[in-house]
Amino acid sequence: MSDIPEHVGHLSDEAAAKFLNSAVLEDREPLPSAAIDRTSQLGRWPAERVWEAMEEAMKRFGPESRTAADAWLAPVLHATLRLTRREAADSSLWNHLALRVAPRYVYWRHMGGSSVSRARFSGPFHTQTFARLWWAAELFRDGPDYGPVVLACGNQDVLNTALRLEVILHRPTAQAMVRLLASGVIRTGREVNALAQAVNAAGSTLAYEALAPDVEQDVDSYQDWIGAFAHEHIPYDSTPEGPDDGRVPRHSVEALTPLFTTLFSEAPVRGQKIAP
Amino acid sequence: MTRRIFPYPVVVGDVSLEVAQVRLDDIALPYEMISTSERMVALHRIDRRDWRSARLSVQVRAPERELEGPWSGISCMALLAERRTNTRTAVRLRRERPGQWAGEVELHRDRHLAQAELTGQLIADVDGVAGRMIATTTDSWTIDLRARTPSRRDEIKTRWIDFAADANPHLHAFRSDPWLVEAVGEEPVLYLNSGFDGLKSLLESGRPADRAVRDNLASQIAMGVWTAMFNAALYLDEMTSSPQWPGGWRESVLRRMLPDIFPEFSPEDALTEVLARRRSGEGGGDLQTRIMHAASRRAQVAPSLGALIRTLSRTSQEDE
Repeated sequence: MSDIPEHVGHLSDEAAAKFLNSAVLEDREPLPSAAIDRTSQLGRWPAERVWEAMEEAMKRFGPESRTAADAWLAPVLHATLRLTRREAADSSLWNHLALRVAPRYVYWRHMGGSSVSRARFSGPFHTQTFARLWWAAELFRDGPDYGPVVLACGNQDVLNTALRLEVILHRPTAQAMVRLLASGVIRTGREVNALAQAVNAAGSTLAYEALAPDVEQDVDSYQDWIGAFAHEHIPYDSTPEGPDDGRVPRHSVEALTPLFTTLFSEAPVRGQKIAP
Repeated sequence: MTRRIFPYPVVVGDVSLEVAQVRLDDIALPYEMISTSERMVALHRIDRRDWRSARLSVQVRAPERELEGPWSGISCMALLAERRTNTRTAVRLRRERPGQWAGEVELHRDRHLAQAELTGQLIADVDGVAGRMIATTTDSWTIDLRARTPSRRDEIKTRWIDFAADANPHLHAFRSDPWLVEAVGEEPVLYLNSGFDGLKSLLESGRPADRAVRDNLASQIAMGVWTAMFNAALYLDEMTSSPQWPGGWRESVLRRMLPDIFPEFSPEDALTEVLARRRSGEGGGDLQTRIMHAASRRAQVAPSLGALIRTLSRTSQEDE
């Protein structure tokens, strides 16, 4: 594939919207790379290694197990495309990645029926193909440990529901939820939804931040990690290592886990009684 | 904390938050960058593009006599949050004296982009339950990383362009329209067709005789803008099990118009209702009538119309 641009750049939402006509979304017409290049701005992130990771994901997971690719790709993408949150909040970067660098991955992962939803190319962070994985990795990692990310992304309902709830921006809350997933207290998608809604609802009167204080993340270590990318090899067969900007305090996670277990046991799970 | 029902007693009376000082990489920010009346801090400074962090000195005050209640162990936290960067920082403030807390909140530039919101919360044990929120600050502060002068006014970005010009192939289909709204992306843009005969001279006319026509046209345009923005905001709906505010300008459009669309509902209930109608395919008929009603109300509200006209005249000065 010689058509990969050298860098991941920026393509505005307005410009992206113009390229995403129904023929493109139905994969009947290719995205016009030359025209996209004319309206894009250059970025500083090397595109080839990111593209390579997407190719690897498609190779490792067959079309029938494409949802399972999320848990593999989320940490790899986060470790390969090293961004600050400020940079990651810019949708034009995700647009360029999806429309110009790796559109094949978007079709492969999200083709439903005869077309791909527009928001998988250009949309909110919790829906856009690559932004949702990157942010899931950023919000569910425990400092350098992507282990909780793999667990969280192994459940589609974590990505579809929990990721967009404001409560998970508090790291101990996110980690306590993953713990319930790891220990098997919650298993199915419906249970994840029930837990997420219960934690979110209780969070309107309970200050999790006060009950389970977090430590400030070390922005300098994070910057160092971004700078070290050029010298690092990102493994595909094992989970890569993330930025060492501070682990979530264990006692804070442990303070929330029993509380969430109680909230979950009191929460209604949709369809629970009729489930086989 | 409006409209939320608490299953326990909460503090009655105003809890206020104040930003007393801001240090940018340890250099005090000039006082005019902090506006107490607008509750705004403007961090964007042309001569210091490469700053890394801002330290905000925060003070929270609550009426002392209101704090005597069935609460124990009252503590106070400051929260700095920006939805766009998914960042939320909580800092516990120290008690200076009864009813007053203070502390420092650090804003790291790497973790923020446009606007962060700063609020305060009082937390206490209530009926044996720890960590209950018993009050939030009445008004939040906005830390703006982009604005030069502190101001909260939000206006619609407006551009005069010729729809038929070679440079605008995407507008050729609309070349005979006087204006159109692009309600995608980070902020909506109103395009005015400079190739439309007489439009520009009318909208910019200062002649008293033209005023009524000009205002009427501006009002019509404003109504179309509100309608387009509302529909765009509605169609971003992601079909989650519980309705979510979309954030950004979309949220602000929904929040402003929903009270006119469903006056009998709280904002949250109105959001649930409008999304339910859109999802069930009942987006036509009655809903559209209500949207038109709300848009026309917005468009005729004097400040909004005035602002639009101001925007138009200012844009034209910038463009020419």
